[in-house]
Amino acid sequence: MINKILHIFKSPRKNLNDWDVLFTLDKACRELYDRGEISAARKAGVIFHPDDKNLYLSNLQKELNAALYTGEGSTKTSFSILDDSHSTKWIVLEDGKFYDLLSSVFTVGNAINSNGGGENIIGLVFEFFFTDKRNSQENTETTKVYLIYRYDLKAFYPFVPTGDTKGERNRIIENRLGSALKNYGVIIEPRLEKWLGLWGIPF
Amino acid sequence: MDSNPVTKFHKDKSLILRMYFTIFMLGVLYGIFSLFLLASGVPITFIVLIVGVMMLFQYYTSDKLVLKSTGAKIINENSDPALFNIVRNLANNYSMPMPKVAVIESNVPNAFATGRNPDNSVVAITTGIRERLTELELRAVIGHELAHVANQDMKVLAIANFLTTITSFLMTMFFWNMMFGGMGRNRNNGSSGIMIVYLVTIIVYFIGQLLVLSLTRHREYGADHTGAEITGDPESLASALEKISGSLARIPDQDLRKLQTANAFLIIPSALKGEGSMNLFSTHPPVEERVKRLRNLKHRF
Repeated sequence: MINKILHIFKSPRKNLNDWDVLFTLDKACRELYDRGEISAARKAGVIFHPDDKNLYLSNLQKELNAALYTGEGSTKTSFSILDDSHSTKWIVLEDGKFYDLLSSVFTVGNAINSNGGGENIIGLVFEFFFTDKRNSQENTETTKVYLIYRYDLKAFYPFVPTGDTKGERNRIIENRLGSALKNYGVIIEPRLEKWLGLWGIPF
Repeated sequence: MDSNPVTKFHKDKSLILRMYFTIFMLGVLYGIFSLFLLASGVPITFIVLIVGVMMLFQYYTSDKLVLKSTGAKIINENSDPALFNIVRNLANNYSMPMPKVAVIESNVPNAFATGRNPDNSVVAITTGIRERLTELELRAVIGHELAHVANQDMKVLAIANFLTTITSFLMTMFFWNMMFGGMGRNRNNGSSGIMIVYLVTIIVYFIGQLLVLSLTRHREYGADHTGAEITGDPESLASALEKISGSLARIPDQDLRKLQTANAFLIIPSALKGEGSMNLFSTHPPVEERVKRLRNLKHRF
């Protein structure tokens, strides 16, 4: 009971906005890069349902050029717009600097939301390579993993697909990665049943 | 031969403090209760003797009783060299006597240790747990059970349970006294006096049980910690716990695209739902918390 009360008062998500939560990833990644547990986080994506009635989403190429390449302090992050096999669209962003990538993803999400497309956004997805350092140096293996951010949860969770078919995922690595990131301050969704997958990520 | 040296983790001072605090509270509770019973004129010596004899019998025969009741079969180096060697190597690494090793034919994934001290202990595992776990995970689970033996948890919990068993006997005795008279008729305060003693006994029993359960949970955390020292591999125990508990099965097969309500910016954040809940009546701590602590140990060399 005492734990629960204390937890409410120190709940990490209390009063945090989306940028605060996204930024926890930047700090954690720097430490995990140093430890060699995470690498090559260069790509991220914004997944959304297409909507012909939304002017912003219909003119996305032009709008994103404006959002990412104009103005002082623009990140110049490269991007492409892709369709997937589930009739959803992706804005795939690529940047060698993780902070810039994070900032660009946030900018794109915000731009879509403030132009009436917030309800079309399914989530944000970040690509990583995770080196599982269990059992010291013996069993290290590097796996391509994704971290999904959901606006409705205000939290991340890991996703490690093992194939393109629904249900094919490596739950053990996901849980291990989730714990590792949480230890470094990333806001991870605690309810495992909310960790819905995204099969067929185009990057 | 397993040549891994024993890994020394920093002591979990907070856990040790909470464990001693719980034991202290149990002592205070039963100390006050004893004074209360003496002041009320309740003859408890006879009950303490009966319960003491019963518990001593149970304490000295628990290993045999448990093995008989579960149908466990003791194995040796010839009948099951793989399992026997895991236990022997871990016991050697931690400089503790080699316990007896038993296997239970059951699909239920489980493992336990029993016995009054390290020289008379048994570590038992089910065939179900063996089928589900990798060798490293099985080694980690056995390390956890050896930790229970090394930490003398059976002795600590037997003493803690001794006090609650006495209270339970007293509770039953007062109940029948109230129903059919007896002790109450001889007392100056009459039946209202014994009613008060009965109610106090119930409260003490309830609080005592909560403290014992709390102590049990602390011993589990302690065994996780010592087990990680014995194997040097907290991650494998975390992974085994996840497999045994089935907690990973909660990660769904569904695709996020199908969840129409997931997209809005507007949905109320669920920051305070379902976290940090702790069941006061559980003998074991939540698996998620144990896994988290074990994974934290990785960074505490």
